[in-house]
Amino acid sequence: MTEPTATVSAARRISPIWFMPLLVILIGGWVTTHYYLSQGPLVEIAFATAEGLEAGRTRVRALSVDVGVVKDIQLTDDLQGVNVSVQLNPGTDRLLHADTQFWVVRPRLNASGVSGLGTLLSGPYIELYPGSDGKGERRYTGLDDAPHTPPGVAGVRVELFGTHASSVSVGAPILHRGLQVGQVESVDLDMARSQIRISAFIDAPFDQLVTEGTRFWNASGISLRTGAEGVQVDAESLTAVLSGGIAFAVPSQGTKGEPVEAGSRFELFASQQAAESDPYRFAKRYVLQFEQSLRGLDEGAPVEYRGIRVGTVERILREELAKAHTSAIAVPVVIRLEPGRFGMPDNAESVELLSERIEDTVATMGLRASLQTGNLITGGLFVAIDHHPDQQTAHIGEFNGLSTLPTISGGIERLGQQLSTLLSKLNALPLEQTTEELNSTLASARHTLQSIEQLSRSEAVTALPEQLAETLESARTLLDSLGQDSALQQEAERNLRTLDSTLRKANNLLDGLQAQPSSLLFPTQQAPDPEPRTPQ
Amino acid sequence: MSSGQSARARGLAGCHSCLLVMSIDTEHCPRCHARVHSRTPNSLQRTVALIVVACILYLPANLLPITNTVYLGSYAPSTIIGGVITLWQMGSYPIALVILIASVLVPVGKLVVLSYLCWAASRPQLANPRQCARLYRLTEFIGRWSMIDVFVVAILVALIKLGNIISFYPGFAALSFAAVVIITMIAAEQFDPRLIWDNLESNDHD
Repeated sequence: MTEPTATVSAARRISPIWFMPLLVILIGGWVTTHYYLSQGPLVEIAFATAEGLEAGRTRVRALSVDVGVVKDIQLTDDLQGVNVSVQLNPGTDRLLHADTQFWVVRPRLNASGVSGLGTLLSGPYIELYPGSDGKGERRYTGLDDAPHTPPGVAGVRVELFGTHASSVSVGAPILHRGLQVGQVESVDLDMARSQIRISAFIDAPFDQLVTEGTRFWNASGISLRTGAEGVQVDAESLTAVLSGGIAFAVPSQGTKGEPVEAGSRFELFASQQAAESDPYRFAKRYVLQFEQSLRGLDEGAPVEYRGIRVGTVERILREELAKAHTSAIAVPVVIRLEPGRFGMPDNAESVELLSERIEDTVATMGLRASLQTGNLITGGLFVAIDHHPDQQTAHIGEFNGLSTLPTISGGIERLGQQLSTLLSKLNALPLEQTTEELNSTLASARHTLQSIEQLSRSEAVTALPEQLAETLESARTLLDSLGQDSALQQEAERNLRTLDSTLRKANNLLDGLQAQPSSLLFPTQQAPDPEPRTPQ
Repeated sequence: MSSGQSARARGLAGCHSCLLVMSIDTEHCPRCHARVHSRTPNSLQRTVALIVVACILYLPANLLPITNTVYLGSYAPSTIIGGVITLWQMGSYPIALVILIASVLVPVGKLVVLSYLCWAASRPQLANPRQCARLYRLTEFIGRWSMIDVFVVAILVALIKLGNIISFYPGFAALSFAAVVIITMIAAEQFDPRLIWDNLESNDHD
């Protein structure tokens, strides 16, 4: 019997051990995914310096809450700064926006106070201000210094332009009536305009005080003025004296206007007086061409319309003299007319309105500018604008891009003309004849006076007072005889009484005659007197 | 018949458990009742699979930090290679070399050697069995020394624990590194060295 033989073939089966690598791959994949999912965003911030920053230790905070840590600090390729890699905590994606700001918080000491004192022990940290706009990025540029005004604070930021910084420093207070309402954020030089540019932040709700008519001035230090009242010392707050300060207000003459938008530009005046004396921001510039001497006309001289100040002489264009080559050289003078001084609101629309009106008035009512003498002693000139209807019609022209106002000669020149007219009239007068007549009149007058003197010295006139005294004596004697108790007086009184009784009787008689005129002819019938009787 | 004739060629097999030699046809060992195989079944597959596992685990072991040092409140994670570089820069060349050899060269070498052995076992014509046997013995010998890094971490973690002032915490790399070492040891165990000599035999037959 043949035994059944099974053909044994080695089955090429897969060992269950292969589950191991599969399992490891699965676990590894899960761990890796979980790791990357639990990582927060990694951002790179460029700073000018990494002073005090330490990889692995320096924290990133938003409103004093830890949100991440510095992972790495590298120099930039051009060696001009550092790139700081920051690992933010998971779930901090929503903190990152396009306008997110980073800065390093370090201890800071300045005139307006001490900040960041807590970082003395803990070391600096990076502050993150989330911002609100735009999509988050992976690269940011950090601020060199902590912003003086924390972002997100309500208020208005304005730019001030002045000729010199004069001790205004970063952090200096912005004062309104002596109260600090904001602070200076930055002071730098605007190279293009060759001016000092100061960024100032005014906190809410005081930002409403900054209006179109507001003037800013430098309130640093102490101002000393001597005047009729003696010596006067003015100073704003002590901080302003130490660290400089800027004050603002609406000048008493100016109009308030609307609150300004953020980023508005203002001029920074050197003093409160300067700010008060130039309280208008908007002005229309005109060029006046004078064909006469400008001696005594200063830049800053007033421009008056019928005696009311409406503007200022801004500049005398001396450089035009070099260009001129005709025989009649007119010197151009730039003036500014301020609508605010006409009682109009201080804004751009008023400037338009004013220039339109002036154009009309020049054509129809003969508006002209002239130079007038303001001060006879110093010879100071000012520009007077007035109506001269007798002048020929003229129009607004253009000079170097500015409108021109027609001018007429005035001031000294006009005065000279009038004087010469006066002198010629004087010359025409018959002066010699008049003088001779006057002389003879005077001689006869003298003669009359002499004869009067002689008369007063004659004896008859001298004796007059004595005779007068005698006459007065006799008059007094006469008056004495008429005294109260004299016989004459008593006699007169007696006579008067008799006269009085006589007159009364005559009065009765006349009354009777009036009642019964017939009584003169007929005897009067007397009616029996009524007798009272007792009733029977 | 040379003295190098294998047991299988003589129709004999050895028990895995009690090493009793018996006929190759026996299914169960008469002494300990374990299953009898002439060669470890699926030896190559098992070894290759474990090598793959070890290779995968070797990635996190080197990429992730093996220790996290907390020093005065700040975290400082360090990887194996990072530690070696730091030690080398500090001038401790012997320690740097020891760690480099024990933690990097040995595990990598072991994986390479095992892979080579597996390849050699499946390609009988190309391999030199004597050299293979020497490599296998070397692998078995050095396998136990590669745990040195894990031991160092374990000791540091246990010894230095001062809260926030200074503390050591083992990283995920320590776990995966230990796994790499153990799995390579198991892989070396799973490799049946008799496969090396089977080739020689078949060569002789041909």
